[in-house]
Amino acid sequence: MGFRNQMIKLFTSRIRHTSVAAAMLLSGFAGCEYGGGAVLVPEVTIVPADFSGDSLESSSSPEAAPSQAATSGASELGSVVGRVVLDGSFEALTPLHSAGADVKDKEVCAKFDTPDERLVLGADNGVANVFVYMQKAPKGTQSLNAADQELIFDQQYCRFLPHCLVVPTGSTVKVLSNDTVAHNTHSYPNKNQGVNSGVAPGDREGKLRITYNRAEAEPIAVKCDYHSWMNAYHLPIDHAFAAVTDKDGNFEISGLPAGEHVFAIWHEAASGKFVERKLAVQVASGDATPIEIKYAVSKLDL
Amino acid sequence: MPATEHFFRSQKKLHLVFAISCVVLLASVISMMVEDYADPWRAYQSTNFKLQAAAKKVEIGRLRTAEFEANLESIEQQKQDIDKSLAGLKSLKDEVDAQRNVAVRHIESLELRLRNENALRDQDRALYDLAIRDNLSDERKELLKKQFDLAQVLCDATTLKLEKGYSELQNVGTAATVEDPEKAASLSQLSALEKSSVELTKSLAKLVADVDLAESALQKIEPSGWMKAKRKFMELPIIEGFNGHLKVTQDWLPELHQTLGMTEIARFDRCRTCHMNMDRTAPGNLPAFPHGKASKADDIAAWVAENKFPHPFTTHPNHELFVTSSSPHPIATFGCTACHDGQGSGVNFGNAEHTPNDPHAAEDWHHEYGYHPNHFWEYPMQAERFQESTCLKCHHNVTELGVHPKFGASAPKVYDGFNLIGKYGCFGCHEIYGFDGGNAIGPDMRLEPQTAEQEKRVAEDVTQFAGKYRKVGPSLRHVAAKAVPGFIEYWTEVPGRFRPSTKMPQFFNLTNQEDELAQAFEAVELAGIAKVLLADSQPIDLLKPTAGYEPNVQRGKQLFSERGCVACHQHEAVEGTTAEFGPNISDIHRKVSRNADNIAFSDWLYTWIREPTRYHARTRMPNLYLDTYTQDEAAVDPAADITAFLLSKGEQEDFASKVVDPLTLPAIVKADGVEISPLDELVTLFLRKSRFSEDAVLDILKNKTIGQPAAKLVGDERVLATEDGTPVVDDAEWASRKLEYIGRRTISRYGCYACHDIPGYEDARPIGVALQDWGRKDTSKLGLEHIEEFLHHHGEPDGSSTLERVEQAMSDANSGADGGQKLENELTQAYFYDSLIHHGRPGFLWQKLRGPRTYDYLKTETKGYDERLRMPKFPLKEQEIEAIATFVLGLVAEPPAEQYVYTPTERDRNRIEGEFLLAKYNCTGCHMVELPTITFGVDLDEDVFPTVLSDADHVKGLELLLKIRKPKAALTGQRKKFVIDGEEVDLPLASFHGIRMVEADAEEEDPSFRESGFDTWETLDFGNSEDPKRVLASSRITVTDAKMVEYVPARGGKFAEWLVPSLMKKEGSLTSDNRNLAWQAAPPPLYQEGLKVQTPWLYQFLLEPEKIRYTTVLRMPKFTLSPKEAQTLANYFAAVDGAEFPYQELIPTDTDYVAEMQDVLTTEGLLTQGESYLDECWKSVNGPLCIKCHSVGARKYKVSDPKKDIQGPNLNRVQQRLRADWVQLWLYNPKWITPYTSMPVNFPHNNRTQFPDLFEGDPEAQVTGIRDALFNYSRLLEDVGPTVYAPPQAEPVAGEAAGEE
Repeated sequence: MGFRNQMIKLFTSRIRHTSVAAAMLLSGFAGCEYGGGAVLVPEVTIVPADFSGDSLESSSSPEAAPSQAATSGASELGSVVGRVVLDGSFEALTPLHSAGADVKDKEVCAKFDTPDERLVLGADNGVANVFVYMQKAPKGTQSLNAADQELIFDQQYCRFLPHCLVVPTGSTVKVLSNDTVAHNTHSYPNKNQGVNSGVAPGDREGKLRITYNRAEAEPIAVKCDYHSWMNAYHLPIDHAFAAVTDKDGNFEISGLPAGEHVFAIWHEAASGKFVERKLAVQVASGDATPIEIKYAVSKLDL
Repeated sequence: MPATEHFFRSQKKLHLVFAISCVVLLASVISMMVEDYADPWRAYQSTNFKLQAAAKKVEIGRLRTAEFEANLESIEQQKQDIDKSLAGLKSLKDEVDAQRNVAVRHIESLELRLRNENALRDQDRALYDLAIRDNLSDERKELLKKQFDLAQVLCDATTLKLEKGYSELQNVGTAATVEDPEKAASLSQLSALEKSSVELTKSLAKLVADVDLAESALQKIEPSGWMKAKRKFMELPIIEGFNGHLKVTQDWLPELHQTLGMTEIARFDRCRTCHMNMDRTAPGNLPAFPHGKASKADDIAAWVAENKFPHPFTTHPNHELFVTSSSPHPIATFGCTACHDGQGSGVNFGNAEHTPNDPHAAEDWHHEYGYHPNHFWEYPMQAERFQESTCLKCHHNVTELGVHPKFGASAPKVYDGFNLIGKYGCFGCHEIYGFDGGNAIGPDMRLEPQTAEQEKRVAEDVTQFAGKYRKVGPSLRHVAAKAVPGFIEYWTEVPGRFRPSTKMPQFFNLTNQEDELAQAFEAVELAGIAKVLLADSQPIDLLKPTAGYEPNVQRGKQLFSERGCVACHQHEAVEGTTAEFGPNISDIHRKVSRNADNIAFSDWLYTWIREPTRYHARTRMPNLYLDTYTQDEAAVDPAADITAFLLSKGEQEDFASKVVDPLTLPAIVKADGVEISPLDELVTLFLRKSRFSEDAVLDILKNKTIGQPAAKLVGDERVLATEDGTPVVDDAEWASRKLEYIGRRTISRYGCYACHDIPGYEDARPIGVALQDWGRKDTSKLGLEHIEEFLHHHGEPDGSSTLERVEQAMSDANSGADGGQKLENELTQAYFYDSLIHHGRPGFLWQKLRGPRTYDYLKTETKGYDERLRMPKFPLKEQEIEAIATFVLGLVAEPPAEQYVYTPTERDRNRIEGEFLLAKYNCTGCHMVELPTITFGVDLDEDVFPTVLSDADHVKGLELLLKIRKPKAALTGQRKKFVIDGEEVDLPLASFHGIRMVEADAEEEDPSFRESGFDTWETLDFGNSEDPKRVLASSRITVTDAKMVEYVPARGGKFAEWLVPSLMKKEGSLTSDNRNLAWQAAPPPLYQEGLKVQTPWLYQFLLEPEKIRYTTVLRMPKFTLSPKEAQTLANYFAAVDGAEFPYQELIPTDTDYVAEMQDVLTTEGLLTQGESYLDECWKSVNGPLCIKCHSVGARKYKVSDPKKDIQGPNLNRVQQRLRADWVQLWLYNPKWITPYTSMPVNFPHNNRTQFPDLFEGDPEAQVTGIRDALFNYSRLLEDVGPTVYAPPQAEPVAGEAAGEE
């Protein structure tokens, strides 16, 4: 298909470049992050509470929860494993600008083709960069305390890496840059304080750090005003039941209490941004519940 | 005659008469005294003492809480315990006291000695100094020096002793100096006890202070014990005359004169004799006795418990503005009657000349107080509905009564009236001249000078002041180019027929023109007006789009929406437009003339849109800079597109077929049977008026000549004459001349030029009665005639009886049912009706505005046609009539003494005049000048997070922010109960200014989950002094519908608020990033504009607006402001923000400052030897950062995607445009100033590596450096020239980006 062919062309034409680029492209071709939707799933320790219901009040001590979960809760937890698939055929998007294009800071930003990440398709029409999450945590689960957690939000060749990031509230997002030109990171949250700060060239320390205090109802845009094509999405969330699909559209959400749960399926290219606003899924305890989410081509708004 | 024993009258009888008359006199004296003593004010005052005592007792009760009593008891107990312990140590205490006395006496004697020794030493010093002056011998000098040194030694010794004495006194009674451990223990116990005793006494005093104060106040209000008996005694008749506590309260205002009869005398106001609590406030500046209806009318306890008090015991309802000593109108300076009118010296209800607010209240008062109107008192109290009219005596600018930073709209009704008169242009016919010679006597509402000569005349005469108002109607100078045939007649006859929302009043088809004669004459007059306007219309060069340009209707609609047209106009094709400043132009396609060669286009409309002043030099419509631009390599002419859009709704209308041709009218048959055409009859009428004899007129009509050459005639008659005075040959031409004659007479008669610029009428005088003193117009001069009869039988717009309407209102009111606002409106009509029947000014005015021609009722039969009333009917609503009446009744031309007339400070004057201009040019149509106010219930733990500064933030930036945007207390001090998610919670209320940046989810219905996000533009403090919770400007505050208490929309900026969502829709998504960009594209809120821009620049910008931003979809248009207006408006913004004006100091441009920076930074090690401060600054600007979005130092900004890239304003203007502090804060953190900006924090405080060699990488110095480079921009560009600075690159990228493998 068109997209794959293009990737091959990319591969063959760029192989002579630096090893960094080659490795990157290789990874892209091999179906890794580059061009396949850079995804960084936060390492989240899920602390399931007691779901039996009768000891909710008594489990006020934070230390008590894990042990209870280990003993009584584990067998009642389930998970959802699924895939988001584009239903219908779609011509791959052309790059935003190709290598060598006359754009701002072209020596860095137009070193390679800059992909249009609004719709990234993987194997078997799997859609990458789709947020699958619950807008409200199911009753009985504990809200997430991620104050000591650090996430990386990087930039290279005038692209944000990853393109989609789930950010637990309270955690710190370190904004890095691997480019020799300056960037700025401008977030547009709805319920949190927005940030707009310059990121110096080659900042590997992450002098800019972003923390979200509140969960948002849907992913929020993060942009660079210097390079108007650069964009990414953050989903600040206060529980652990969120995931971003990988390059082939796969996702997994585990640690769910058994029962029916409602997920929101959000994608930037979907008309109205939601592929599904409320997708009910029956989760059985123990085994993973497999689901496939069909994303009709007619839903696309590009 | 010899004396006899005989009496002329019987002694016995005389004694009897004397005795009886004594008794009668005594009785009458007693009855007089009884009556005097029974004055109602005494009863009010007694009640008030009881009321105040009851309130005081409640207050004491509130202070003496259980906690208070417990505290009191515990302190007293502790004190007793200490006293007991002290008693045990009495002997020790006596001993210590004795020691202390000895030590004190010792110190005192030493102090005395030291003073003496000091004096002697000073004397010795003086002698020595004199010896030096007099050049005495060296020995002598040495001797004297020795003496002085000796004296100094003595002083020093005594000083040492004294210091020792002090320290000994300190040690008296302390354990440290005592060796005996037992005694030492007792001593320390004693000193501890004494210390706590003092502290206890202090805390006791602090605890009971409020209660003591309240109790002593109560004692004064309601004494107990012996004082109570004295109080009772002092209330006795006669005795009470000797300074009793019940007495008449007088406010004597010797300089605030009142007019009585023909003379001016000092004012005595005794109103507070009954209205005793007018100026009483409670802590927190709350009214101590707010008005209200308590559940039990006669129970003082109920009043106090419910905090609702009846008249006359209440506090002034607007005590922050009036009466209290801290208000701008303290009672001691202004009294009561200066504002309220009435008889200030009266001490009972009737004498005070109270005035009821409507006839129903009058009936109630009649029953309760025996009220009846007193026609003999010239200035009875103002009815409540007209209360605001007296403000005009002192507030001649009026604007401050409607807009005020502290008091808001303090007199909204009179301000409405003022604005309505401005809106409808009443002043065009009725001059409102605010000056008498050089003295201000009231509001000044006059037309501005119309010609250069008039302007010159005013400028040369110091006693004259130019008017400020423009004619409210469009110019008719070039009307032939605009209107389609027949439109003028069709429109003028009934303007509301074509455009229901028009401001133009109706002159024709009114109640005094219903007869056949008038109907025929009207058609002639209308045709005449059109004839004159078209004949006199001057040629105009219309603009045309480039030949071959194809206008795009769809794009025209979009440009119409985006370029600001809908900030003033409504158009039904553009959804959500509500502006009423300009006309609703939905139907404009029907009336404007089209091009002869292209019926789909109108060059006139194109010209008007593109360059309004070409058609009308004094129009308020601005030039929107609709210049041709290039899009996708094709030229776009926005004015042509908008023209095409406006005309696309349909074809022009054939008005010519809808109007009557006056020449086809049937002839009038006169009383003598002679038939004459209406045109000739009207010509006869006007010629006769111009003193042509009956025969002369007949001759003129017959011979088609006036018999004289045109040049010899001065009046309108000259249009009937040919140049040489010969008869007109052609019939059609003669008819046309007659029509023009009638047209000119009609324009003069109706004063069309009051609102329209008409060639030839520039010097014409206003035709109506001047209004500047109408509020004092002699009521006997009001022409009331048959109006009562008219209102009896007709009166209402539908022909029904006004009397019946009023009677219905009165009976509804008497029924006691709560009729709400509707009944109140009906009673307002009843009030006016009643006033009219009693020949009152308000009633006359009311009917004059409702039905201006109704005063001609039954009079048209006897009046000449040209003598009929001419006042047109304005499309006014009942409430608007009341507002206008309030204003006009306040025009009394009786200014009080100079010190009472409101004379604003320079700052306030600029603010007030600026507000007037904001309204005049509709600046607030586009721009917010006050942001929306949001009041909500705040959960302090969940809803607001105090701003935490990170390593990246500049502390200096914060200091600057707090200087520019001083923190505002967000908590209002009130609390409210809310139901959130089914639970009731009690939350404190907070209030702030901010813009809604997140709309609540449309699909969410539960108010607990409907969340709006606001960006605050001010620094807020959600805490108190003990626990501050500071939230900096640009913070997002999320408020759910459930917690929202009040959302007060912004003042101004309706267009911006409309434009933002429509731009977002165009972009396709309603996300936060799009909203930020849409706000950048819309007219900016002018929040703290005065602190931002330099006043001289703003002045220039207002006159000649340059393009500043590249992100906007529209430009600031150019208004026809006069230089004076531009100056006032520029000053206004500085004045409201408390900024410096009209000039600003620009420190960064100062060479001394630059030299100082050079030194300071060199000392700090941030500049090395040989580096020039400004050069380094220039490098900072020319580094790789600013160029990302701005063109810098002759280098062009690089565009990647013209649609998406953000280009910042040109930097070369910063030095003229912005203030230095503001620029510095902007560089520190732009969001703190404008939350929606795209400009990032470019120099985070923790980033020392981006320009490591500039100021040693110090970001703070870089910020100041950039600012200083911007303020020396042109100098640096000339001295240094274009520069490219590239910071030394860090080592090749060390790590791999995350997400790579």
